[in-house]
Amino acid sequence: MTETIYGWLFDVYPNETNLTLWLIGEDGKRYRFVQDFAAAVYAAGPERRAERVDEAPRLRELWKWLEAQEVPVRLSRTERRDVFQGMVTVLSAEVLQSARLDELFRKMVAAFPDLTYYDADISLPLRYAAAFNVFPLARCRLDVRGETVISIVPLDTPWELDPAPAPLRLLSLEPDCDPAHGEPKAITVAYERVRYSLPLEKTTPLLASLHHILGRYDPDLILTSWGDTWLMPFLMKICKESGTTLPLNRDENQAVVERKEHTYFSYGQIVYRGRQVQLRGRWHLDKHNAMLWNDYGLEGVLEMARVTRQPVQDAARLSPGTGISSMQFVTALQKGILIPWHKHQAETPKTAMDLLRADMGGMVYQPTIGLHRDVAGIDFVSMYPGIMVRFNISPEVPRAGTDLEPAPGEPGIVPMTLAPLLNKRLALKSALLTLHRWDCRRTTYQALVSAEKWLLVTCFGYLGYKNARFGRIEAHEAVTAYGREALLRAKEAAEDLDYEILHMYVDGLWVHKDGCKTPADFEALLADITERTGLPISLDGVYRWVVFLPSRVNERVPVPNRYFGVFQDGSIKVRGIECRRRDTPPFIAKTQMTIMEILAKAEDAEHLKEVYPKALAFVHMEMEALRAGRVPLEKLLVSQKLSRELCEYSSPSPAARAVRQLQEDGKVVRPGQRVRFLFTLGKPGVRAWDVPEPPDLRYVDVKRYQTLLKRAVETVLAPIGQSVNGGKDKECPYLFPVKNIKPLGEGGTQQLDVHNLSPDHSFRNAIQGGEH
Amino acid sequence: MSFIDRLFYLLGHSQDVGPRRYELDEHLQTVLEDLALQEQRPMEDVHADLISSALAHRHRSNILWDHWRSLSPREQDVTALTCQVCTNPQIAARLHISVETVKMHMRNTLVKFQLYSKSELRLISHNWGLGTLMDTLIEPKTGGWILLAGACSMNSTMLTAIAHLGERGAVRVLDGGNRFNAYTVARAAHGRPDILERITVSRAFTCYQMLSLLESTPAIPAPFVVLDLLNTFYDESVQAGERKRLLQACISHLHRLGQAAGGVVSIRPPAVPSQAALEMLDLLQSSAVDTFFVQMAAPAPEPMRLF
Amino acid sequence: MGRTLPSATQVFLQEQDSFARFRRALRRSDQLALDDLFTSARQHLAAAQYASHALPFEVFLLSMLLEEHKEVMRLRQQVDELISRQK
Repeated sequence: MTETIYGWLFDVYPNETNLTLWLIGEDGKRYRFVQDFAAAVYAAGPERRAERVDEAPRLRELWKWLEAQEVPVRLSRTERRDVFQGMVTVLSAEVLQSARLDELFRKMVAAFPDLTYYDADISLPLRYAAAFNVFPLARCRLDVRGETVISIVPLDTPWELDPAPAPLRLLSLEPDCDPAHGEPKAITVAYERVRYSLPLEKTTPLLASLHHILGRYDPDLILTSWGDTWLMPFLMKICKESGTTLPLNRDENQAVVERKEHTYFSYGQIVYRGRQVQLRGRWHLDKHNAMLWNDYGLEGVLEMARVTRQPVQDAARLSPGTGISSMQFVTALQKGILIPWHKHQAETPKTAMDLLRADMGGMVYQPTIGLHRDVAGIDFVSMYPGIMVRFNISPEVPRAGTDLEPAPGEPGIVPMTLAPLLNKRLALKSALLTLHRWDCRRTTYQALVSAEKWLLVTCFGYLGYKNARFGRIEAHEAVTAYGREALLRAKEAAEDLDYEILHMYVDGLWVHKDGCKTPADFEALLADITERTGLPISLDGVYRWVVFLPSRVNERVPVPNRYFGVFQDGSIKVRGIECRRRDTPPFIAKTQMTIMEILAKAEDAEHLKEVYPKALAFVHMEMEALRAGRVPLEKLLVSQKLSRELCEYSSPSPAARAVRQLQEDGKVVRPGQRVRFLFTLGKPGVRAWDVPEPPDLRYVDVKRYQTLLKRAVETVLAPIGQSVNGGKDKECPYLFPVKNIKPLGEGGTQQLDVHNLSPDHSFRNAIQGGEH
Repeated sequence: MSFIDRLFYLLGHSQDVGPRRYELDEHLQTVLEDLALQEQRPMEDVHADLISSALAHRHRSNILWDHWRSLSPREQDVTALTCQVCTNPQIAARLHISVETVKMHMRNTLVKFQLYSKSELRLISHNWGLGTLMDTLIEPKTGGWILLAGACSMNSTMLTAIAHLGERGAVRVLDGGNRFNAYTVARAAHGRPDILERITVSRAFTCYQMLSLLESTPAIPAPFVVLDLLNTFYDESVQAGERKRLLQACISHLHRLGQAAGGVVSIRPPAVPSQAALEMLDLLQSSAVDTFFVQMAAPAPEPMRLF
Repeated sequence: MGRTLPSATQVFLQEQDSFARFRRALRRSDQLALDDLFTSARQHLAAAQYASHALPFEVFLLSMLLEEHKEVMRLRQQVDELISRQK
């Protein structure tokens, strides 16, 4: 008896023989089904095209070997497209019990390491999504017989702006404090309108309560804080100790999935990924282990899952790079393009002269230092993805030249993958402009836009990534070349219309023209730029005033990425200064931010004179509070990443010294993790925060914080003060002197701290040090 | 013509540069004039002195060359590691032999070199490194390829040598360590675009790409330089056995390329020493025509340099 | 992957460093003037990088000259104004 059921696809994962599917039915019931699903892996020999069987001896051996295996496979010889090599003859090995594909593949590779493999390490949920064109929370129609799915048809696409939301049941479990900082005593349980606290001491009633909730409420999603790293392992441990079980999984046939922590290198940075606990039949998301949760929350995570088609639990934890990669795989699977197991393609040779011209990033200008009024910030909309789509930049598409013309022919796999994402983001952004300020869809759209922005921002880097299957360095270079060309044409357009160029940065410009103040005044320019480049460009906003800051070390040297300004609507934009840095203590960041807010109250640059004294008064107050010890210690915390193992430091950084203290307390900190500490007097000069004993107020290095505060204040006030007092006049009504860099070796201690990172630091100090 | 080229020419290294003209270039002229002034001697005397000391250096180098070739492979290993300032137990551990055996090899080496102590050996290898390197690179021999193992600082010398090779004809560079600083090459080539157009470079960022790169490089009579070959092979996310298999395949391609042209392969030691790294080094060493462990002297402090 | 060549700033600093001996032998006041010249070249690093010149120092020299010329033009204008005001 075939039944038809409508609902939202919740989860897909392999079981022993085939796939398990979960569906949230329209009728409110949660359904579990199974479905047979075959997955194929392909192998190619050293010869690309083999007309006859005897031309591919290695493949023949592989065929015989596969026939002899106990895992049932369906073998065939076929021709498929490799993005770099063109059509290739491959042996197709289709495994009917797809859960056993990995096991078979591992043996295959061990026996035949010299062959080229395709579609070898694609996860089953992704294959399923590609095969049936579905995705997490897709609305579907299923035809089922008993427990088995006969057919599944998607009723919407990932690109809808307003899909009907699935009625998710959410259970939240929050420890009452951060397990890294102290011992949690209770967890707060919340679902629907219920909210109460469960003490952790008495494990039996705790487990009984949770068992009851999981049974009665049967949540779809368990949202925790520190669930991956502490809470879930803790619950599982006490279960084991007491010999009971918790129905964390809905699927009683499956075990809870645990993954270990690991540290890896990515683009010169150490990244630390904590351990994970994933459920089957339910989702477990840990707010503190979800990438970019603060940026876009649950809605963003669900959007990531929709658009990348990864299972929700993975989408939350994996990087946007993996997201883009998954999207490319789905496109490849659907278009019959082979996905190489390893990236083989190397760069085609270029002359040394070519390399000089090609190996450049985006165009980064040197701004005109100082305060400027009535400045328009204009940005190309998603420039690099836009370039990839519009000019058809893809590893398999040959380039004609550097003229801004789309490459002819079929869209390549990269633009094909990106285009719908880009279009959705553009549609959302323009929808946001028209939505009323209190429209409840605003926050949702903003979350979606943020998630998509991250994917788009990553896709360019991914194009050049060494392990990206469809990456190619020539394509990466082509994108930057087009970007530079577009920016230069924009500059020419602006200058032809008598605008002054104050600054340019990869995909944006800051321009000024006397008499142009309102958004409408700049429309002609925007239109002209779009016409010359073929790329959409929009107005970020018109600044009442904006300050471009010079280098710390030399005030005549411009720095491309340090500025702050106030838009006409009063909002503030800040880049590169202390309050934007993650290692700045909150007190100092807040002070700097507040100063800017005070300055932002001036209606325009003329009125800055009036608010300036208010800013100074505020600074006085804050300095006094610091001196008098009235600033709460949490606000003085510095938060730095540990960049390497402790033993690798020749002279330990403040972060390393703090980590050593934590280690003495038995806590483990891996490279890539952040550590919080205070600056203290004497040695070792730091005091780690996350140790049990509270720190002693008397030992806080007030002078050091004062210096940090002065510096932060100076960054913001110096240019304003100079402007307020008319140009280059050095006599600003300051509380303290402006010049601050002490050369090495001149009495006192060199304040060598992370706030002073500037490329000319070492050279200047070496020269100055040599003199004094 | 640079001073070194002129020297090679004087010593009979075949390089047809037309009629013999002993014109001094300006830079050299100034230096010699200064020296002559300082030393209160005629310029000709200074000139002659310099040439004879350089010749003597060359002569010593040649002798050292002969000594080196007379060492057995194991003795060469022990010598190289000694010059890298390893202790006997460290050397024994690296080469999987006993400390006694290390000492024996060292004794034999000192006899062949006619020296009395290890520190003398280290001293001469110090001065030897740079000159030898330049020799090797400027005249890569056909029929095989040469392995150069050394620290990072060797890179700019490699790039300079590539520029010099570019003066004579096409050069193919396969860059496995993202080290091809085209500015350094350009400087050594005095910015000449014709040279820069003759040098081609391809970059590989994974060991699979490195193999692909070698596979697709044709065996033509133009020298090839592989920069930092093992860099991509130190990536531990690929299994050691797999890396070795790939390296073997790479070596067979190096052999293929070496049939048609001279080649140089440079490598650096890994950041974290490992068994796999040592095995790969052995593989390379045994396939190379010659291996040189290069110890670059630390950059000299500021006293007057002549050249 | 990519980014094999050093950045414009790094190239600039290397070139500046290569004149360390020259700078050292100058009088202190001349050193400051030399530093100023180098600083003025930093105004145009983006254009220098885009130029992709094989010998970047030539472009830096041109940048210094450019800034000097701007200063000359500015001074010339000031002088003209002063003269016309006197009349």
